[in-house]
Amino acid sequence: MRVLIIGAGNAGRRLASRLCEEHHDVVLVDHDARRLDELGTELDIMTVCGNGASPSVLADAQVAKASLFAAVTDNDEVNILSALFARAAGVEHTAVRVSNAEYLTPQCITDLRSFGIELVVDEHEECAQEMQRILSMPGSREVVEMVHGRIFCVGMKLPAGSMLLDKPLQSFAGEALLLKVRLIAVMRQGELIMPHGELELAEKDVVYCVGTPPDVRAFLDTVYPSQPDIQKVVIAGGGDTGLRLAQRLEKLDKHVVLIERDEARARFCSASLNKAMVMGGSALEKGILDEIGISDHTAIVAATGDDENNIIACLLAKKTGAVFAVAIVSNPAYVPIINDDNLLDRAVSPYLTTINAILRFVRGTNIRAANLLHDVPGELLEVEIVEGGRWNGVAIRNLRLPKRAVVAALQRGPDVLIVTGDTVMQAGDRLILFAPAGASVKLEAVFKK
Amino acid sequence: MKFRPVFHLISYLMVVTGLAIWLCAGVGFHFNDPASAIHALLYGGAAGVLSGLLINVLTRGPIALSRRDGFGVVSFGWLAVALIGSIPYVLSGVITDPVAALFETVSGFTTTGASVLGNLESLPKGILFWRSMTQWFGGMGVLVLCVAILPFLGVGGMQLYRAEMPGPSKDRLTPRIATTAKLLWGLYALMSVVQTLLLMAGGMDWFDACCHTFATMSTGGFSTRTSSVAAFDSLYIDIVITAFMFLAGANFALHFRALRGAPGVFCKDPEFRFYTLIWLASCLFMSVNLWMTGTEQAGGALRHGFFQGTSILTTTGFATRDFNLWPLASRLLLVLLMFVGGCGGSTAGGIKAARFFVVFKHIGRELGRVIHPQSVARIKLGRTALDEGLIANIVTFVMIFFTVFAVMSFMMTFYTPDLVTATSAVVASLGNIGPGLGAVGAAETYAFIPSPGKLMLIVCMLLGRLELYTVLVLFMPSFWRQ
Repeated sequence: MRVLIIGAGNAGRRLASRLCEEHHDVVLVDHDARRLDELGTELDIMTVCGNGASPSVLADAQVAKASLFAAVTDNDEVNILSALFARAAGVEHTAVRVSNAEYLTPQCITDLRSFGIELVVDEHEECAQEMQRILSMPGSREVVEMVHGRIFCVGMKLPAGSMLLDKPLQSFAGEALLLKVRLIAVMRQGELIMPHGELELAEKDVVYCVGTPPDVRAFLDTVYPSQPDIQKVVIAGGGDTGLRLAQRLEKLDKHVVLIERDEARARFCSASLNKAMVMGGSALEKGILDEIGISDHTAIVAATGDDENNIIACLLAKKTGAVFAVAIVSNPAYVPIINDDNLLDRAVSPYLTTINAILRFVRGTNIRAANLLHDVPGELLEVEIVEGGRWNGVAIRNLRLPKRAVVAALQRGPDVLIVTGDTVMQAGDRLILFAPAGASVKLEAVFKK
Repeated sequence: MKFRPVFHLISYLMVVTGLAIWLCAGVGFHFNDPASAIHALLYGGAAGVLSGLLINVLTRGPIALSRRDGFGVVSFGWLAVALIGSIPYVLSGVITDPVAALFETVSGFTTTGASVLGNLESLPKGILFWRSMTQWFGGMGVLVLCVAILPFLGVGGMQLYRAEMPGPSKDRLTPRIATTAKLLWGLYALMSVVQTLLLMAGGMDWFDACCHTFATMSTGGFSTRTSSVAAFDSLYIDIVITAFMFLAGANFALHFRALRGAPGVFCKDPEFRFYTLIWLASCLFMSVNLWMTGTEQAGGALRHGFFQGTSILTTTGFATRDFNLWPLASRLLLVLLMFVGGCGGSTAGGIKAARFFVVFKHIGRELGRVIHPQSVARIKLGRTALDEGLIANIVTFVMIFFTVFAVMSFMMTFYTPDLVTATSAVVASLGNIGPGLGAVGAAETYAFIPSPGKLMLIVCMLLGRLELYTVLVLFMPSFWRQ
């Protein structure tokens, strides 16, 4: 498939490299010649220098040949305008990243759809949602929501003394706990291990399990009994992400404090919130955290739009006594340092959601969703079994999956089943699969009509 | 430079070369060549295939090429291919001196066409076929071929493509480099088939037609006859070869776009226009010069003026006349054309029309700046303004070219009888043309030059084909640092 990407920022760069690995033809447009030059030697892609919203630049990039158009610059207007030109040139699928709330009202999204823009990715909203999920399960490393929130995939780091340690997995066979969730992957020192009966888990392993939200929650509570209980959330930065997170948390009756440096923005935030407290100032200022009052029930979320500030704000809050710290970090180069040294509890990259949404288009019609995981080289796929399809009425064990790919769960109507080899697939079922990097292209072929 | 992946890739080149030599053994068998020649080709091919397979197994592992490694693969790969390619010459006794055999092979792969062989008609057909085939492989590039056929290269393919493809800016026809390489080689093969058929229609047998196509499309210039294309003495053949030399000297990306239904690209491309202008002006000048001085009749002047002008400008080096005997003005013009060469992205050698175009504009800009010191002027190629870094790269390229030319000419004076021979031998090698003037003229060979002189010319040919930078970076200490 030929893909045209506008914008070589963090999102565009990561999307391009991802698609390139899967042997798609990628053309990348950006106005920064130096950045393109650097990417052009790193990736096997064609680069075009210029403004993505200019018809002549799009013509240079042979927009008409592309089957997927993704505009992921930081500028909403450029994204929308370039997608409109792409539609006019006859591109089949168009996706745009939009961050300004003005363009994200239901009316506006309907309008954009009627213009032919198929997918509008609201990065801030997705990011705020992810933050909320993390705060709801602070013991987890990662929470991914699938099938409209009916299935969760949670990654958790095993603490010392966890009941799962030092015994082969098969010895837990009878435990009610493990019947309801499914372990799909284990990350040990950066290496992906597929779980099997003989595997013995060790301390600091990150295990990923899939199940319904309450089951996953119960599993997490058992494995990780000493989870912090978060009552109060301090949000540094009242940008779009911070504000929307505050609005969401407010509804959950958490005590929210929002710190915003810009006075006008702070006033706007205060007007948009009901119960939350808004402080004018910076989370980096000495004293402001003392004034807010940090206890061992307090979490900090840093969403200032600046990686370095976010990291430092979290470190300061941790030092002051915050029990849990999450930062938005968009530069992928920082993530290993943060993870290796356990600087923060979580680093969230804001563009992963954008890439997830766009990958869905690439995956073909039967694959309904694709979710990259932060720390695992692989992705979760959601596949629909269709009436008259090849796999309708076939037992799971007869599904010809690529090596190391596993079926994690199956959703049938309102129920979520943890599958065995004998489970027979029916039309309308949604399969949740985990595919390590490289296997998703083969999976795509398996589920082609 | 990482040695293991570099040599792993080179091993594929060696296998491909070996297989190609075996193909020539088949041709030799068909023509009932003497057993010694067929054996030489069989053993030569075996040497390539077996040593290639051995190195391949020894260096197995993942391949991730950096920009540096790309230069290493191309430079050392060309050397390895030339060494294997010279084995059949030595084993068959056609060329007994190994240095001369290497000279002949490098001259073939770099599409130079300078030869140490005199009486070509007496040579075994299989060996002659191999000699012409080296040019065809070298024309579009052995590594570009590898990028096209080896599926696992990925990003590494791009490093190889950049290091081997001539021209100041490397066009990409498609997002993925492997597809671009496939299209270019496919187009090259297609044009070769068309030319072969046209030559056969003009009365050549398939062997001569193939060999001359190999030498035309690659702008190499090896013939199967001692007197080159003059041996056929046919206006039709001259015209076909002239036309295809001209096309081979133009950017293949343009041919591709034209075939895709946009023939207008030729008129719009500034480099192609400049190239055509130089071609028309110099060929017409030579025709008039030949006619006025009475060297040729009017018709002959036009025919040979155009054939010879095209042959030298595109750095092919075919001859229908011994231009050593031409008037001084025409002779000097031919030498100047040797510096120009064809377009970027073509199979031609030389400095390339685009670089001259940019250098002239740069000179104009600098002169203008003397008058208006505060003027801001960007250099444009067509409608795109060029990056200042690229302009510096081009000016430096021209500087290095002339420096190498000067130094090598000086050193060649120790091995040649006169100044004209020394300088024209160097420029004919550096520009990948082949025949020069004086003792290395169209009717002569390079056999008399002693081995050290031949080695120097081998270096010149490689420098010219790989466009200086790829080879010269190997001499930077930082290239070897980990």
